[in-house]
Amino acid sequence: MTTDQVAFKIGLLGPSRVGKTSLVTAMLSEAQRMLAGSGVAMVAADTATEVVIDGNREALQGDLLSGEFLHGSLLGTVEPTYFKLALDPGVPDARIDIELLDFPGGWIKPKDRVGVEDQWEKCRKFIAASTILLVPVDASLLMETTEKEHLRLLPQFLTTVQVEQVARDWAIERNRRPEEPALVAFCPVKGEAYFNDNGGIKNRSVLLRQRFDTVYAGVVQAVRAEAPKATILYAPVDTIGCVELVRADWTKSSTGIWGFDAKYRVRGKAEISRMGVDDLMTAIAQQLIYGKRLAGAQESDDLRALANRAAEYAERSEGFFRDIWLWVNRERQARRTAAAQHDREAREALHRVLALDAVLEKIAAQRFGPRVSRL
Amino acid sequence: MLDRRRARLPEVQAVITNWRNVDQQLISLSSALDLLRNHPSVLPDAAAGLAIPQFTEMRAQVAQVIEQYTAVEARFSRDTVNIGVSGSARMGKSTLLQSISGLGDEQIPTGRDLPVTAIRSRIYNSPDLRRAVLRLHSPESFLDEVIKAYHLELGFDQWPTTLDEFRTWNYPAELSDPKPDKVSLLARLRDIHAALWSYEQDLCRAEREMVVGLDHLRQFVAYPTHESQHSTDPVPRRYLAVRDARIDCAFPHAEVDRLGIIDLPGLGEIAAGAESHHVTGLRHEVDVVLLIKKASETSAFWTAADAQALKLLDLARGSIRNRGDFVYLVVNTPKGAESLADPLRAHITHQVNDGQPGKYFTVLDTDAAEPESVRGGVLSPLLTALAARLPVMDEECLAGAREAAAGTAAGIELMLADLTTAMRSVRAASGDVTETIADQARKLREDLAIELNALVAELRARVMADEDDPEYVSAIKAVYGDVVAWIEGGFGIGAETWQAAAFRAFGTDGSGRYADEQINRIRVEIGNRFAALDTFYSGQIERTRRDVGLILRRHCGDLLTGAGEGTALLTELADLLDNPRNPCPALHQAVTGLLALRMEYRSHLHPLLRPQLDGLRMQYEDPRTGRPVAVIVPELTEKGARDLYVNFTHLAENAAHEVRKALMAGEMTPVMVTYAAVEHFVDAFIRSGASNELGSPGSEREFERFARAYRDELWPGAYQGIAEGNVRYDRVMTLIDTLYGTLAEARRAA
Ligand SMILES: Nc1nc2c(ncn2[C@@H]2O[C@H](COP(=O)(O)OP(=O)(O)O)[C@@H](O)[C@H]2O)c(=O)[nH]1
Ligand SMILES: [Mg+2]
Repeated sequence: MTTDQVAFKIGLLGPSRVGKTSLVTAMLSEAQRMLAGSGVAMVAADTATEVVIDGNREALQGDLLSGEFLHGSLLGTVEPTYFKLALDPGVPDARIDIELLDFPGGWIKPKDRVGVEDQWEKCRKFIAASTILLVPVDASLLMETTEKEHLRLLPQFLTTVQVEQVARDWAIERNRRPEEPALVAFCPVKGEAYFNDNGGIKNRSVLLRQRFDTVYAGVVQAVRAEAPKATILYAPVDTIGCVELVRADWTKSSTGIWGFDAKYRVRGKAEISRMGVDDLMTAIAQQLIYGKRLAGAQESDDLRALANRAAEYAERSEGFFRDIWLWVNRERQARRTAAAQHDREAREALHRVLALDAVLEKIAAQRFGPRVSRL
Repeated sequence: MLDRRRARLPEVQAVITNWRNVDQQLISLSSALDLLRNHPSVLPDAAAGLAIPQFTEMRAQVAQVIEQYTAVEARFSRDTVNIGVSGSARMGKSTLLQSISGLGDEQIPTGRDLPVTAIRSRIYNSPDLRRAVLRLHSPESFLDEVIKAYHLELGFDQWPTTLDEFRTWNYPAELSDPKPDKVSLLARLRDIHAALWSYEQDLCRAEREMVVGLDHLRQFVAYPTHESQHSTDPVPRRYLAVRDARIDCAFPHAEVDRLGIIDLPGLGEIAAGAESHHVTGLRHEVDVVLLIKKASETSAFWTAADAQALKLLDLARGSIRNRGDFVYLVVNTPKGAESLADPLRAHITHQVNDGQPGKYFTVLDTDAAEPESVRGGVLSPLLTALAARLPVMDEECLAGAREAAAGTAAGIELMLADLTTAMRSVRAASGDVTETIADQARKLREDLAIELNALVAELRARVMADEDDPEYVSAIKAVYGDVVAWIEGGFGIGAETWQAAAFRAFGTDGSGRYADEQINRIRVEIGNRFAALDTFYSGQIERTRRDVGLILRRHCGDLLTGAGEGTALLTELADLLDNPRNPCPALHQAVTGLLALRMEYRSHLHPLLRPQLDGLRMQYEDPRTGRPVAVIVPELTEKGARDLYVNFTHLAENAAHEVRKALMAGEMTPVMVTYAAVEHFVDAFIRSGASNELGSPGSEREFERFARAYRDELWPGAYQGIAEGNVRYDRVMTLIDTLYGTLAEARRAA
């Protein structure tokens, strides 16, 4: 189960430097924390991912050590980045691959895809097959921009138009698969200064939400219109937690290029204090469970029908949940095998497979924190 | 007959007075119209109608009327029936006069060949008197009327103005241009000059009239005789001092006791241009004229000259309808010339009367030298005719004058009617002062409303603009930049100094005290530095006052020109509006409201922004636990001092950033404040309704009060002008009325 077709796919939509890599890193870290002692591991499933995540962690450590750091938001295109993670119960063929695509927003405009049409086509297929869209939102851009001249730059810097376009396409695709789950999570990041639940003093989360609603209204509406059944979450995340914004300035270079420079400082002890990543994991787990249930509830005829239909989808090289069905069958197969063989090792494997099931159930069952709301 | 005339005299004189008044009033009206027409308040359109068309002609007509009535007056005021005797030289005119008056050569000189009559007399029948009354020249009138005429005629460009000058005047013996007439003229002038001794005393008499016995009259009325002119003795010429002579004596045939005969010059005897003038004079003097023609070898025909003389005399007839009523022809047939008389008479009948005797003119026959013949042939038939015709002639003269008067009056009245119409349009255009002030006040309010609304709209557009007010943004940026520079510059003392001081303080007091002091200092300093925005705010407010003030000043004439701008101007206006005689409480309040507008960082913004400085504390309450947490507890080392410094710069920068953000995003941007203030001002200034509380009748009425109170400053010259214009207007109207009245009176009197 290492092919694209069988991985659980998550699309990441947002401009570069918004914090996508940091979010993936945080999710990995948070998953590892949540799974500790469960017998199920969350791992980087390939070296490239490992390298990127290590790099991100190192950079972050450097920032935290220096006590303050600047990051600028710049416009520009980047290569698509694929992250490959796996939920591994330790049983061959039983792990769940999770693939994330850091989608270069710039490619949405046809003229920017010239020369990279192959990659674009791959990205498009990936997004179409994604169960989940994660949209990191730069909270500091939303909150620290006050001049009208700069407010007008927000869509460009947040790439809302492109995000809306991709999200719409995704939603249309989701709507064609009513039996599959669908989730969009908008994750404001870099918003430590606007919450008082993680070391901040002031609570400006309401204002943040207002700004988000205003700026992302188009994206939310597009998803709601095209995929009415999709779950839409607003889930602010602190990927670092122990930092906060000092000041931010919109600057214009001598060549007329705008930039947004935010200065952060480390607050309190320089220890990472993630917030809201667990909510995100819960939401993802719910999607997995929901999908599994959908599949499991339809044994016998229904199952066959579903399988046939899934096969149809499979012909379109799409369908994690066809694989989930296969996975369910595999479980059953495993149980049968165990019963027949009374094999200790097999029993152990079965146990672990069930543990994965259980831990997912457990994570999915967690209640969302107060930051999260359904849109 | 004469008494009846007398009775009507006052009436005629009244009419004359009236017409003289009409003339005067026309002159006054014309100049009053000139003044009005040229007044700036009168628009060019209206001005065109403000004139008397054909003013000169109209006055000539009035003069004509007066002249006619004056003739009637002269006629009616005569004590006598006056018979003018006219005829060319040598026709027996003086002879006829002698026959009628019984006077002789001493009084009415006759001569064989030379003209002898120097002064023509008017001779009146008077049973009791026998004298001549001479009217004398003064030296001035003599020099002016007699001598100057000679000088001019001779082409001299100077003449004497005093007798002494005349006496010593050097007349040339000869003329450079010896034309015969000029030569004789010079000779005569030299004679006059030479004879000054003889008449000088008469010129210099105190009395202008001199009564002379008839026996010594000749020297005053006749030229020197041929003999005396040729004697070696100086020739006296006393007649030169005489203007005219009136002789009173008893006529031998006193059929009509009140009779006068006037010696008229022969028509050839006077200068051609003077003839018609002479004729006009005639009209005032005589009731009837005798034109005498002698039957003799030399004058047996009715000549062209006679016809001309008759024509001229006829001009004096005036309104008398019948030519024959005014002029009688007399054929003088001396003894021995009887044979010549018949052809002459026949010729006259043919020439003058269309071949029918008496058709137009009566021809009388006499021998002028025979008093009896004159009485029977001339006087009796003449007086008989006059008895019947004189009243008719009087009536005709009067009717003629009336007719002329009526025509002229109608013309004038027509003109006055046109003028009245023209005046009405002037009035409609200018109106009276009170009305005009109300109109002007309304216009002022409207004009101000338009511009002030435009200002409000402009401010509203700035408030609603897609762009932030760039001035505000840069003002904030500047202050923020200043604060950040201060922070980055080590809180005014430099990072190293600050840290060194911190480290020193750690040694004595631990970290707490220094940190506390510094955090407070930073907070205060940031607040102070942002207060520099006050300059911007007050500038904005002053600019707003200036914008409003400029609009007000532009429409307020001279009223606010010396008042400066902005606050100074509005303060001045507020004082002016606080006018006890014409109070404008609503307008006053509107202006003082704008003057009271304040926007200060410390009083208005700091309270709003203060929470942004909350981060500048050493301790805060953890929202999660409710327990106090120290922002930083630095090590008491140099590193700790550096940590504290970095921390404080972060806190300070964040505070400054938050304040800036709050200012930018603030509900209360300066343009909003000024917009709201100006909109309120315009509402109150232009649109307030009546208010008991304020004691205001409302903006509209207060504008009228304002306009009344300061009209001359608001509209410099306009009201002075209107008053002046009105005086001129009224003067014209009064003169029109007066003229109507005078004309009506003249009509009534006639
Ligand atoms: N303060 C703050 N910084 C963040 C957060 N997430 C990411 N960053 C910073 O944003 C920068 C860009 O993040 P990255 O994950 O590389 O963005 P990507 O280009 O979207 O992958 C890095 O310097 C991160 O440390 C956040 O939640 N808070
Ligand atoms: Mg990245």
